Amino acid sequence: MIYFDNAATSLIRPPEVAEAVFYAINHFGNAGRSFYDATMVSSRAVYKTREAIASLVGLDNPLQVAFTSSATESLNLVIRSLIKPEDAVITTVTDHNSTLRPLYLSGCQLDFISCDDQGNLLLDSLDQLLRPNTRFMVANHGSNVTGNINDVKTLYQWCQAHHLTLVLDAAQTMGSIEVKADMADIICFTGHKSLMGPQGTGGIIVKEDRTFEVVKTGGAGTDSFERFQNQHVPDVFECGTQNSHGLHGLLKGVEYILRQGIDQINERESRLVSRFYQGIRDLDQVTLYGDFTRPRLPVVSLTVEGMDSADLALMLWEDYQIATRAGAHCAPLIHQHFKTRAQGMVRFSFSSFNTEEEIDRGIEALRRISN
Amino acid sequence: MEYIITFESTSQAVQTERLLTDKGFKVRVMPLPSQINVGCGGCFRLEEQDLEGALRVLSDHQIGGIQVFQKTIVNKRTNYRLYPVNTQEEIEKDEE
Repeated sequence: MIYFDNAATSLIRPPEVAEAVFYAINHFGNAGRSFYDATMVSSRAVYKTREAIASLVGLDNPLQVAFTSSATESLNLVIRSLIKPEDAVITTVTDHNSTLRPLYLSGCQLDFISCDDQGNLLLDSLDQLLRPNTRFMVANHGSNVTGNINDVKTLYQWCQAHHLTLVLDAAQTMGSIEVKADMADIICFTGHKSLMGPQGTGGIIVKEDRTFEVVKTGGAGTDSFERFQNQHVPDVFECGTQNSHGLHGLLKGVEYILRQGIDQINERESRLVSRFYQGIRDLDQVTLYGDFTRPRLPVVSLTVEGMDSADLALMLWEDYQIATRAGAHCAPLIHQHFKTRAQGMVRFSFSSFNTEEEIDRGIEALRRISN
Repeated sequence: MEYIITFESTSQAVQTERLLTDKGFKVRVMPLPSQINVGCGGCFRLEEQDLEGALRVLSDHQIGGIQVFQKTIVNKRTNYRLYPVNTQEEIEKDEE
């Protein structure tokens, strides 16, 4: 199999990730509950994972990292904690349902930053979207469809100038390109994509300590006779048993990234995506979506004229053993923008574990299919 | 004499254990005694000679919300008495 579905999950991981999960499942007690060796080993591993994430994003205090089961859970918790029906919120048409659906559910008034023909956000429109009750912006750092990297610096500067809280969805970027804690007020991330951790891991990074409304509550290990739990990060988001097995795997994934260096990983992924783009850009029947003139994520979505994306993905799999992802990628608005709702797109997403030979086989398969 | 340090949360306790062990302190972790706060939290046991240094490390790292209790055993019964802790300002004043 050639695995080109890394934007969905990183199937090929450093071997120490699985080894760490195996070790943890045989040795870890319940982190933060009781204080004998097995529970302390577990608690210390969770803390060490906080330290590794803090180190990756340049955060001094590891307790400003809370762990969740996924970026989706992180976004749900943050949005439900902070956003009220009376708030107006700005998001983008490039965002994923993990952002859009919690926002719809919140009952807030939503305004959308649109994008151009290459999927780049129309940042000139920001001022027109501002309402007296606009208090938040929730936006992705990078699109899971186009692979474009959003200009977060401009977005955050604009948010700060207008006293808006920026919640950044870094599901596609953390571990692939540089993500720093000071890029937004709150960053939601997943562990199982570019951070190379197991599925069922993710988290929330807060730039500064703040109070969150409790929207998920239960056993927290402390103050058991109080009716309400601590409202500060990380405790406010971490009731219930931690996925310490998964987090121990995530620790090894993040340590791998720290050892390799984000710049080196990014350079390798950029080389692979550029090779793929150069190999298919001249195919008449193929339409590419996104901006290929500037730095991007290793994600390429495309259509072949007249072909349902499901048929294309099936052909890639059955005839070439190439794993891709067809359809809407849980990002409905960007598909509406590109008018691909009916056809869908096929997404090729690479990781630094892919090889040039695999890229070339992907190019060759597309050439044959589209001829 | 033995002392107990309590924390606002278990995650803070684990962070503090890391800070203190990195500085060479012998930290023993135990369940929070019921007479201090009935719950399922944890706390640290420290010997008297380590208390001042440990508190200084916590102060240096701005670990807030801790409480210190002095452990005494009278007639085989353990008691925990709240022990006043110097603030960062008081420590700095003492140093002057």
